[in-house]
Amino acid sequence: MSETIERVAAFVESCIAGETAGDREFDRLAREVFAYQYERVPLYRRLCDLRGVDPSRLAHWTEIPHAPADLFKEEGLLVACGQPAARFLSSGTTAGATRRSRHELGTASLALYERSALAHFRAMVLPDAPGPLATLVVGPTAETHPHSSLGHMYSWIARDFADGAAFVAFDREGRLDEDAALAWLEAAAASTTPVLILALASTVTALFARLRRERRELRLPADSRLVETGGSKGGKAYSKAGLLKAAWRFLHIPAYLCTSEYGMTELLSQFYDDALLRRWRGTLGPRAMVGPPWVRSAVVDPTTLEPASGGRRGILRHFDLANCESVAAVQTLDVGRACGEGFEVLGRAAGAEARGCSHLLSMLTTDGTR
Amino acid sequence: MKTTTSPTSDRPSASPLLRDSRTADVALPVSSAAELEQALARATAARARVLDEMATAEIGEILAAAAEAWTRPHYGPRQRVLPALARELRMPRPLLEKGLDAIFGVVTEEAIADLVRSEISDPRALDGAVAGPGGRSRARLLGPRILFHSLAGNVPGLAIPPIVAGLLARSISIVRDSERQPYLTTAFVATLADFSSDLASMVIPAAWRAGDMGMERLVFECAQRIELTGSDSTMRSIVSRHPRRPIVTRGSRVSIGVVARESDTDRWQEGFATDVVMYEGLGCLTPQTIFVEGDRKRAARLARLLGIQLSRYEALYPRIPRDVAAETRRRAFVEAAELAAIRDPASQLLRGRGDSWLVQLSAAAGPTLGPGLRTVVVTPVESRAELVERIRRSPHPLAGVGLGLEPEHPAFPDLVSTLESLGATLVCEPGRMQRPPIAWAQDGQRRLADLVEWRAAGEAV
Repeated sequence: MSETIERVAAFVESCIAGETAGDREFDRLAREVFAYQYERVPLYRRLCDLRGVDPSRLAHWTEIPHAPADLFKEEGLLVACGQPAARFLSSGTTAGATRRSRHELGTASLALYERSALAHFRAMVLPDAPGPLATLVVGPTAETHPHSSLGHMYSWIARDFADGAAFVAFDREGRLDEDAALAWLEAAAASTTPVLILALASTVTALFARLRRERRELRLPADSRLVETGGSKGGKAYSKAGLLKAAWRFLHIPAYLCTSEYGMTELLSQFYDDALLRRWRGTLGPRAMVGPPWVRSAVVDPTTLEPASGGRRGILRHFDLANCESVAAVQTLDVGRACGEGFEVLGRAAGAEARGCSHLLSMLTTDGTR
Repeated sequence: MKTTTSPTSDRPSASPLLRDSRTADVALPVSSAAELEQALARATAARARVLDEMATAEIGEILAAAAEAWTRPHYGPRQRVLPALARELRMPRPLLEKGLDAIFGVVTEEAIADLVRSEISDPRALDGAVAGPGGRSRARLLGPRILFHSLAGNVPGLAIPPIVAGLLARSISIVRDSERQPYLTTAFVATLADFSSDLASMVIPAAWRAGDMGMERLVFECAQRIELTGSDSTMRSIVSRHPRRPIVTRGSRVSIGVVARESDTDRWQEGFATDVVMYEGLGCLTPQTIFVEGDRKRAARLARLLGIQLSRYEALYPRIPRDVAAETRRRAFVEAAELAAIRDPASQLLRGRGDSWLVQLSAAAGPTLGPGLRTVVVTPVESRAELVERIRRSPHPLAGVGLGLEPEHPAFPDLVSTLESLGATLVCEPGRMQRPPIAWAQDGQRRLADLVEWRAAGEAV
């Protein structure tokens, strides 16, 4: 493993251990990672050269060129030589399967992905340390969708935090088994073990719709919680408020125990809304998407790419140290605004190519995706 | 009743259409059922007089006079409307002034007469009863009693050609501008009133908030012909609410430029730059892709020269950033062009300072809808057959073509014919794409002839 990757891994570990990630240290490491990737990822180097950026002349990590997320549709972003340890593919886009994003991981970044995903999940979704949770997965897993980064994450979460084996009600073709999921939930409601539901926005919507049609309401045990992802990317989904109301009405899960996750194939780190964390800390505020300390996100003006001030809307960009073996600086076309300690995702600009997990149910391949 | 006087910029508000409003000469559009009813009553009475007393030539003269007023830089209503228009449309004021000159400059007596002559076999039939088709009993060519036009807000002045055609057809036009800029139509109607209160009464500017189904239903019930301009999604939404009404829609179209191999590359950059910059590239006649017949070097040369012109225009008319959605789509264009450039050495991105303009030199682009906002693709094409094939593959119907070839060149007629066979409704020299003649058959529909039909003399109209 290169020294740069080792330093990134150490930095992530120190953050996980609760040590404060100072800006100076992040800046130094980010610029080191940038120089490392500039040397080793030819396409990224060409992009930087096209923009006239010289790594030796950067004064601050915020000057690092952020690559369009679509760069991940190209081959050859892995810094290491040889075969990747893992290869993740996005859910597909309206442009078809050939234009899916891909993220190749070396051994180091695969380990880092697992470590960082679990750490941040614990910090944001389990701050109250509820103990083992009866876990239902209505989304991809590593087994059903081996090329889905979300699937891997859900599998790791189930492995580390579930009470026994997780129950998966989602098959390789991306079909939700509503009957099985609802039967499981009904049994869970009769027990005392808190439940964790790992879902896509579209699957949880389908379950709520079914419960509404059948006029059923389940009362899950206290401390049960819901994590959903992919809600604002064009699939049929509740509004945020609607989802929270439905979670309470149909499953008796209170709003503060419902968490949205925002992630993408191009980034190895994830963002969770901080409602549960705030509740646990005893602070109030609007829900914000918060990433781990090894990520820096910004809302930028799409015209100038300068920070959008005063809570104005802009497009989101992220510098993710966990992307140490590919490209860490990623510019998205997701519209958002700064909010609390993070940001609020407002969707994609109309006309922008639709992406993401909300397509998982409708655009399926047997080898799955995120 | 003919009144033909020159307007003065400080004429008192004598017209019944003029009321208090944000800008002194802009009447408020009707926005309620009661106001619409009153306006229709006035319009109906006015129409009866126009049908009896006003000849087509006179209507043309009045329209031309009203339009000519709007081409004068110091015309009071123009001066007063410009700031609001520039603000709402986010266009530099000098650029908007050029746009107004283009919109109103084509409405001349001669152009209107040409429109009538080219589309109506017997123009007298617009003025009164003549021997009907097949020599049968006397009949007259008339438009529907009431027309409804709903217009997009991307380009100002979209209402003017339909207003001209509607009045020539002796129809009452209800015109709903985009919420973004409801000013220009009402201001023009106020000017029209200075020349003919009857003709002005026959044009009813209307405005209601999106989602006001009551007004929409009312208008759709009273209009005999409905024309919609806008985004495909907006029009689909409206059409779906009125499944049994025939509705004329003008949706997404793509326009292109072509520099023929027979022509010198160095002649056309200024014209294309004008076409790209006008209306900030948001009109359907903005060239999205410019095909340069010949090799890559020729295309690259045009791209460079175009960039120079765009820089010049940026200095004259600095671009004003738009909303986040529009700017994000523009950013997506930049990103895609950058990725193409790093992937393929034959692809190149030329950009102005601060990305104020963007020219993508692309090896094999087709006509696609870009974000506008001073972005354009230039692409080489080896042969005319390849040009035809790439145009045919476009998912969008063709609208305009800026043709870089001298009209006197022997190849000109064939090339125009080829482009028209591919669906082009406007073929003109670069620099004139954004000032189509009043007779332009947008979407292949004839402006006037498609409105009128034979009505027997004495038939209630």
